[in-house]
Amino acid sequence: MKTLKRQAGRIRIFKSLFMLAGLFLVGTLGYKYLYPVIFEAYTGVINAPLTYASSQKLSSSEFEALARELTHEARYQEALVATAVEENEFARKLKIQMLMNTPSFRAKTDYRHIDYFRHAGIKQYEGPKTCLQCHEEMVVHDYEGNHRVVNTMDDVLDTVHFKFQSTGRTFSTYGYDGRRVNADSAMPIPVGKINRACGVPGSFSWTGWAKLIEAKPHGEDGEIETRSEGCGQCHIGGNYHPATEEMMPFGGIPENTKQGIDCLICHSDTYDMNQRYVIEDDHGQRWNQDRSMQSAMTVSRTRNKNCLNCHQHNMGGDAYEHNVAAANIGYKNKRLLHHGAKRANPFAPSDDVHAAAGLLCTDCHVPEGHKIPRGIKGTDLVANDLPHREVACENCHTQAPHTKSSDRVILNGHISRLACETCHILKLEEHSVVLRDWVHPTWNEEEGIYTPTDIYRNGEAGKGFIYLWFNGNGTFLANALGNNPLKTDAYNPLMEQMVTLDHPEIIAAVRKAAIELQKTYPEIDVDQYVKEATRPLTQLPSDILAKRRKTIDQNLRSVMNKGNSKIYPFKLFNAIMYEDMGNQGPFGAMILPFDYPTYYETGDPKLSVIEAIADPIIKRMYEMPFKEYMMDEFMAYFGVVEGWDTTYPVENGELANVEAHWMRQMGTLMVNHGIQKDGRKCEECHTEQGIINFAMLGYPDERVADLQNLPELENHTMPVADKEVISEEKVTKKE
Amino acid sequence: MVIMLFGLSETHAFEMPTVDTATDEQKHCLRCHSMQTLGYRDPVTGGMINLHIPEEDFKDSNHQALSCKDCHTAGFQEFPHPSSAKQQVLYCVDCHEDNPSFLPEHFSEIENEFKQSVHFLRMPERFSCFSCHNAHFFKASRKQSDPSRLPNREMCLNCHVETDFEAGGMQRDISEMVAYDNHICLDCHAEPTRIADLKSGDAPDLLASHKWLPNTQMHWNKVRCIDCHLSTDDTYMHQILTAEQAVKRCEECHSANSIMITKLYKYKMQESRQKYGFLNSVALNEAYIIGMSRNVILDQLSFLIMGAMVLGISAHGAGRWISNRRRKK
Amino acid sequence: MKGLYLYSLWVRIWHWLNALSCVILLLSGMSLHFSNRHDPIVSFDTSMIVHNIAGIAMALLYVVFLIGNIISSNGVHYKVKIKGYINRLIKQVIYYGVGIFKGEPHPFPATQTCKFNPMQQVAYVGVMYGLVSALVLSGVMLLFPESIPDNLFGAGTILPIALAHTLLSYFLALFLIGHLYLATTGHTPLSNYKTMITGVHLEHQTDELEGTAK
Repeated sequence: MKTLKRQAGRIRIFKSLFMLAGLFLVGTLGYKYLYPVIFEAYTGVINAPLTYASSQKLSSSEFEALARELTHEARYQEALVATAVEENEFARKLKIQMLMNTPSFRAKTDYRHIDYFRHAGIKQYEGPKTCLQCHEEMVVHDYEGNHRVVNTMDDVLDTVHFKFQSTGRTFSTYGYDGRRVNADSAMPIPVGKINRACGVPGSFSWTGWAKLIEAKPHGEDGEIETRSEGCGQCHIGGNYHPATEEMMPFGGIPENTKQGIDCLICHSDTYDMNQRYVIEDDHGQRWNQDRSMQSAMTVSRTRNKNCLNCHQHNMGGDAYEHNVAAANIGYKNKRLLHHGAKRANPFAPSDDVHAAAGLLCTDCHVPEGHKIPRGIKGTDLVANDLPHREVACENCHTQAPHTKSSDRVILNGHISRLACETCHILKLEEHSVVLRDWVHPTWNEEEGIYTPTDIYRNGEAGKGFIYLWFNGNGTFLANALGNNPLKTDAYNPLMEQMVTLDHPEIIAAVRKAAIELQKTYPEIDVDQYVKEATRPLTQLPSDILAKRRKTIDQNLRSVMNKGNSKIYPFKLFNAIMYEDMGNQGPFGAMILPFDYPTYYETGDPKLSVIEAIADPIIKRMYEMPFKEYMMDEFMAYFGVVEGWDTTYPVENGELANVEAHWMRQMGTLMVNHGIQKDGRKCEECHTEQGIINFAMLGYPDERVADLQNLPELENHTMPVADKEVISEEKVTKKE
Repeated sequence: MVIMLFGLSETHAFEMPTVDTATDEQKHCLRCHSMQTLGYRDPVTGGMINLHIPEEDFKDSNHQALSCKDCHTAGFQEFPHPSSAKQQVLYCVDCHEDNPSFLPEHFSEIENEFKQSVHFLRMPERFSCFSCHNAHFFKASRKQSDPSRLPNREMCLNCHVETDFEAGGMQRDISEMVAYDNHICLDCHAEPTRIADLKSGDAPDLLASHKWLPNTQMHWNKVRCIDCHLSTDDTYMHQILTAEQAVKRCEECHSANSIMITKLYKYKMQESRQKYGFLNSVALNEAYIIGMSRNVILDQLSFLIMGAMVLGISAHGAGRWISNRRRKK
Repeated sequence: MKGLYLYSLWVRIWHWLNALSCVILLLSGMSLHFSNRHDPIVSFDTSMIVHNIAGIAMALLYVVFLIGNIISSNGVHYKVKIKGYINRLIKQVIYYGVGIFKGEPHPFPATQTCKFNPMQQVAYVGVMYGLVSALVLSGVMLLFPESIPDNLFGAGTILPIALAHTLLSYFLALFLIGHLYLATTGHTPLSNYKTMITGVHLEHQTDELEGTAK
């Protein structure tokens, strides 16, 4: 009897253990195999094994020939630099020869990976797989001087370069509801390029990741040229879509995606940007990469040219004359270049003193593993790998950077109120876009496509960029926050500087552009157009305007008063786009994305919007799970307390409740590159016509008068960078 | 406004003209000199030369009523200031010895004491009044009463003034004063670069050298460096001693039943009442002095009694239980 | 077993509130007294607030007690008949020392007019009129230090008062322990606790009767 009972008990235990193990197995298998399928079905993302034509296997003799050629070229280029001072051509030639045979010189210039590959028998570059053979783990050095060993792939996957977003807790961005984005108390939402406020979260990076455009540069009936376009051209994730999995509450990156990462664009000395174009395979469109052995064999320390392959696009712009990537736009399906630039402050020896001094990007942006700091300040809602890491002029230059000029003391004095950039960025490139009209495209004869119309471009102080107080924080729509040290309410940029373009030159230029547009779009009312483009708040009804004013006072004023504000230069930017009016607040409505091919090929923006938002993931955004997961929180930061309205803005194939509007305030983008050695002169600011509007910056009248009339300037001679002053003082000391 | 310059008894007090706003001339100079980062790096030493005059502090300083030109006589109206002007050497006693209302005798005393201080004895050429006292925001933070007249009160009066002890008289925040005074020392002593500039070798680790002092940081916030690092017979607080000579005098402050504790307690109570309002302050006062009523013997005795009580009760209870069982059986 | 309604509602409510504030005060007071900055069980700041609030509550309760004793019949129990008191007290002490082990009946069973036995009388009168009043008074003085003189024979006044406050609180703790224990000497160990909730005192005679019945 008793034994029977015991046996039954044992059986029961075994049964439950078995059930548990079964459940665990089913769960694991389900997560591993079923979840990705469901996920892909739900979001419409594609995952497939990726192949690249440039990844070719070399024979031993080909390898050696290539090795010789690459080594020779590297030595030669280095020797050219080293002998630059030799004026006699023949002597230089001999010196080059000598150098190229000097062992120490060769050791310095040779590509070390050639030998590594030779010994490991690597004859084909197959992406991360090849790199990880040796670099499965890496040592990460942090700022505190510690180091740790990490899995290289995991380290890369956890960077903004790969995932375009972070859910970090330390954004310098504040919602219009006054809450810091993803503060400790808030539900963290993924924030960054992948879902920034420009367009429905995720929109452009999904709907415009890799697109082929049929351009007609030879006229309507001429030959069609296929062109490439999309965000994926710069980003290292090489798949059919951005890293969608990483922004979900759970789920990992599929192996195929990992193998799509382009290591060489950052790590190769000879990466060929001409390999960067859109290709189409059985699964969809994606970006090609340079996976040639040549690129792999020339792996070296990341240099500025690697960074600038992509980042010059955002700094100097595609139209910048020293943009190397823009000069190599593809062997086929050539990439479309963007002619207006977002910031237009290039980082190149000709236009930046640090680039000229040979500084590396990573000298200031010192990486920790694959994570790269972008500083603790920022107006734009851009993800940040190392949000605690300061990237600042003061890190090197100290608080007293002016050492030579006879005005050094007063110049140093300015540092408590002015950012270095304020004086040392004199201008942006001319093609810096201030006002862009997406709603009225213009036919671009040369490219054979319709492009958005840049209504106003300017790179000058007071026109392309203005000066604002900034304490390091920004709003959810990239507006610099800060206040005059007097902390009064007199300074209110969200009601003034950021919503007003009143320079007569700007008004005239906008009017001229509007008249030009009117020829194609007769429905344009020029006066109205100029008014709305230069004073976007005129688009708001008075009750929303009042609400806006109140929101600023209640929610943002305290953020503006935080910390120590300085005057910074800010690039202005505004655009007119289609907006989902169901999701409108006092600071704007949800912008809808455009489908690039439709837009470029037909010039029909509305059709392009309909096409873009038909993308499955955008549709998902208009459904309950995403509303709960992030969109309600997103709208709260956006200043819309009612939450995310999931009414899909298309009805019967037509846009519903969608209107074209200028953003309610201009975005203000930080400009930090394009630094000039010689800064501005006193009289450029301290006169009544100076480039800084002191009254607008919240100074009381009396102080404005002071600042505009400095008695010292009357007999002030140009500052002398004099040795005299210094030596005189030395004498004084000794005395 | 009556300004007490090292104010002694009332007879020494003198009146300065009322200065509500800086004079025009001050204002003129402060346009630049109120800039926080005004300064440059000395080409010889590489160190910072700070030319910032904190406007608020200057307007609150003992020299607030002076015009800039009163001291800086040489050609500073030119911009940039000519190097000839910068050669002018200023010395406190220069001003203070000529005018009887500027307490000349005290300055000579101070000078004497200073010349006995470790700073001057070790590096006479590197130390002057201005090494520690910035004339632009110098403020005598205390009013020292005649020590002979008020025995046992110097300790209090290091930080307090007489009126502090009248009802509602406490106007100043002690920790602010302590911070002000300690800042003078820590400006150099906590700055490795400045120490390095003055003497070879590493700067001493202040935390390590004060390790004997319990709750070191808290003491630094509440007590002035000079409270310990002065000669005991030092009247004018300028004969700074070497670290070895400094006295570790815990009991001077920590004698439990001193009037100072009562005064301090009352002051803190009233302060918190001002801060929180009557009702809240009663609940939220900050006046507990940790372990103030701690007495080791008393504590041990109380434990003993408490233990005996518990033991007794246990025994009694056990007895009851046993007897009860026995009876029930 | 017969019940005797001895404790009116206000007395019971007052009693438990008073007990609660007493316990809180003792615990928070201990936390303040033995405060350890590095390893606090309850942080100093919290204990301070708790102690102050509970202290004020106790002071108010004490006022309620005084007024209650004046206007209600409860005060009767605090009036000690001096005549023969010492004998009665000895008798009670002997009971606790000897009789209780033998199962003897309580020598002074509670009645409507006299609910306290002689030992309780002296303890409660002493504690409620002496100890607690002194504690409350010293506590109030520490809360309003400007009400007391600065100077007592040349020394500060805060320290003696604080010391007294501490000392008195020791006694209160002692009383509390004794009180809790002696409360178990009722009909059953818990019956007196129940009484303080229901208000009905169970007569001890019944216990005696049961005992004899056996």
